[in-house]
Amino acid sequence: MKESPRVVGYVLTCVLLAIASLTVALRQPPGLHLTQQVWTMAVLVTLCVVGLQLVARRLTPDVDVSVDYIVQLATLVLLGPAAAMAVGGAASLLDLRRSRAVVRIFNVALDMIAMGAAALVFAGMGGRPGFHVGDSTKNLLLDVGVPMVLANVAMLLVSCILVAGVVALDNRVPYREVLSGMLRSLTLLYIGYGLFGLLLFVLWGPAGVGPISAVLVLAPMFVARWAFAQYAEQHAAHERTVAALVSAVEAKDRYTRGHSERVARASVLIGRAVGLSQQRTSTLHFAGMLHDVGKLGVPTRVLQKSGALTDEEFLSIALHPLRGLEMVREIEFLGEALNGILHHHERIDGRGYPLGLAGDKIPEFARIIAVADAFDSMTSTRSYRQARSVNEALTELEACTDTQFDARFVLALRQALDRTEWEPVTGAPDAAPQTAADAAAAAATSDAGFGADPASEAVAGPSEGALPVDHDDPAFGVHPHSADLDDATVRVGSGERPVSDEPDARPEDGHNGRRDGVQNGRVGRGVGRGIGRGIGRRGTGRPRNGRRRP
Amino acid sequence: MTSTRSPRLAPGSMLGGLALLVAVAAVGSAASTVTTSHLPHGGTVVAFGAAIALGECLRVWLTGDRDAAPMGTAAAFAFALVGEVGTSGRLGLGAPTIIAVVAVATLLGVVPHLLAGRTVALDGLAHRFLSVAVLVLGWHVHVHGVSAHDLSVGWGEERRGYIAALMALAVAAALVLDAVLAAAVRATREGSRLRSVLGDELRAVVSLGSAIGATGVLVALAARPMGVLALPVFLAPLLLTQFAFRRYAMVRETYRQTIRSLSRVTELGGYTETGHSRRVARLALAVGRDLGLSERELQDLEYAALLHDIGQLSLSEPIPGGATVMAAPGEQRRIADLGAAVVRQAGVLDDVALIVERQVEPYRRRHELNDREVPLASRIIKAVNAYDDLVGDDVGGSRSLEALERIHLGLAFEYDPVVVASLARVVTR
Repeated sequence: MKESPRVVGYVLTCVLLAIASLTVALRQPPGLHLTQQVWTMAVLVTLCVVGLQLVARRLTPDVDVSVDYIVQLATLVLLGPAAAMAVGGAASLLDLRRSRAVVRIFNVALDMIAMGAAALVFAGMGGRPGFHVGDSTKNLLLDVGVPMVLANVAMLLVSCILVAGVVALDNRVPYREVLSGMLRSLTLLYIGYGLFGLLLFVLWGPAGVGPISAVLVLAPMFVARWAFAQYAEQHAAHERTVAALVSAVEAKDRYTRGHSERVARASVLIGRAVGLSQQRTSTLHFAGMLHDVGKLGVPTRVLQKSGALTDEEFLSIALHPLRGLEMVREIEFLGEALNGILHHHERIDGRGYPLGLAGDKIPEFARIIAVADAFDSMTSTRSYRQARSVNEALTELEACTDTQFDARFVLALRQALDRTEWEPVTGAPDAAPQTAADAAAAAATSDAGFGADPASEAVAGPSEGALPVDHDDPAFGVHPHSADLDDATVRVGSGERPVSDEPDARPEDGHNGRRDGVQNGRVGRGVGRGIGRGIGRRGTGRPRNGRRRP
Repeated sequence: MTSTRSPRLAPGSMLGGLALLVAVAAVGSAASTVTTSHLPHGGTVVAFGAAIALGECLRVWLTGDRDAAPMGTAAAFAFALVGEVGTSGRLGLGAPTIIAVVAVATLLGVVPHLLAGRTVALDGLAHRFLSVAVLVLGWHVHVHGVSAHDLSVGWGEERRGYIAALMALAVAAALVLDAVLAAAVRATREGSRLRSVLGDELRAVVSLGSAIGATGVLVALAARPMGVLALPVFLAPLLLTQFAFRRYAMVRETYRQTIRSLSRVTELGGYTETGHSRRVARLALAVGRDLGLSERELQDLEYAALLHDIGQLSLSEPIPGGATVMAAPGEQRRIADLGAAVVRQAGVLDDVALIVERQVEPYRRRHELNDREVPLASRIIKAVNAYDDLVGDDVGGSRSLEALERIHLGLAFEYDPVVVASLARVVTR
């Protein structure tokens, strides 16, 4: 791989710095006699390499965290700074994992510079290398414990600053974002594990246990790393399973295929841009994946029905956020995601559903998902129109900030998309099946034994008087300036309910004559009232199904 | 489920009683010594006791409905093994005193939970305490006039490595005992086979247990140079370990709940009867436990049972009532294949996909050899699914027997006799 000159320059600077700090460190007196030192160092380097290989943790695709610094810290106290640098550098050099040459060189330099900073802090705090078997507690705490923790902090800071630099240069991402992200997710863990370094030193030296202490120290550390790895694995498995199940249901309607996944992705982009924590971003992703899960509860026959809907059928569609909530309600730890799912069709002006919440009353996650949802609808191809460009979609979103969307999150989406590539779905929606499940679904639905093929019905496109609409698309929603809109509206039938492939359009587009039915309430309590209010207040009572003229 | 019919004591309460007995005896015996001569090293005892209580208070729920108190157990192990704390020389506490302190501290750690109105699992508390008590006795018992404790204190600097090894062995034994006690309780409570449950518990010991044990030994060894300071410094990293395990348990549980929730898709879409997949999952788990499946296999079985009808989503016309037992074999097979394809798409549940795929295979085809490729989990789901399709949500009604009878007709060809026998045991329990 060809390295960019800026990265190479950066790494070379680091190497020079490393050499300088090593030169200074070599002037310090060692902690033990030379022969002892060689053996001890051999054990320590081995430990470091094992630590690197076995328990490295992938923080981001570019950044690994390994625990070899624990051994380095212990080495610093046992043998002095020069030995600690040598141990760290040797381990990074011997790292068996495949990596680019420039990365390897950078890692070796990084180990030495970070250790140099740590040694400086350690000495500055009055720490001194070496030990006597049977040192008193007070001495150990003051001479080793406190300086070592501070040295650990220095190591963390220097490592993060340098790594963030190379990541920012290599990937052309903002430096401060990388740095703050690393510090946020690392600090607690890094310092926590640093205590193992103290433990290793105390057992090896003052407690007189010697090299066997390394085994005892590594065991809990290894277990913790194992648990974190298991956690990460389960987390990924969870996300993939949700994606598979959701896409299995989406497969029924090829126009929305992949919709949930893209909404989740766009929601995360927004969430990151406004600085949500890692935990909340992860929950937000989950909410985005499941935001339309209630639609799964709408029977296929209703989804595919081409005639007029009964009130009951209409309600089953209008209630999809509530159904979605009901379905996933018992998943604990979901917290905010539940609100996001329930309220993703609320509008800032209070005319959404199911509860008709307005402004800040709408939960943050719901406001984010609403933006992502509309954005993905507009940038996806539908049978009746091509996908709009990212820029057009953003402009449309911005036009609706005072009525439908939270301006803050629309802005965040624009900022995020300035930095990230977004691939609008422009291909024909009936493209060849891409996954095994799609293929299987296609195979099944083309089988005559199982009734009509829902997909082919969808492909057949809009039938007469059944102009397809898109509930997630703000252009198809009712705008407050509806008087202007009427001129631009494509009229659909007269007095007939518009019918479409996109069921959720109905609350917004086909409220004619349904208002009473809803208000008279087959839905009990607050939700029903919310829907009644939301629909009743809206528009002129004429079916409207059109796109605003630019 | 055992106590209603047979009036015998569950091992959980037996363990609890035993633990109580040991604790009371230890406290009594310690009290008699302390009243005659004042308690030596009061500060050290209080420090260890506080660590044990705090650790017990910060106990953590793990996967498979276990609870553990890693910090508390590690502190208790350390207290059992420690010979010298700081430079002040031998601690010299007797075994009863140590056990009494552990008992009191453990109970103190429970108090905040009781005050907060949480239920406290006595089983976990009991077997944790008993394994520590046995460790204390084993470490202090005199064989030929010398105990392991005496050795650990008496050996000089050059043999610290051996002492570390000896301590590690003792702790390992205590952890295995803990696993055996936990397995005994679990086997009775869930009606599962002791051997498979013991395997699960021992696996748990290898992961979290080894961290607990190593930390206990570490604290005991480091207490000599560092004094009680060794407790906070070396128990703190265990808090991180505990945090990692808790997060793991949480994501596992979320995963399970997600699959449970999303399995209802077919019900909401009108493909299957309400509650069908959950009932099948619950019953399949009971049969799986009865047949001695391991925790890992049970998890796959549960997921497969929950998702066994997911293939119906690809049908445009629901089968009447969603009962696949009524569908033609060809249709059943296609539903299973479709479901497997959906599950396989996740990329991480291939074992589950296989179970879903093979759920329609008959146990034995006429004139053909037994197909050994069909996983046991698939055979379980096949029988349980048929049972639930026939019975529905008619709990305790006469339909249960009719369904069993009908399944019996298909015995040895359609259904695995071993599974059906287990099913009959489970549903008539």
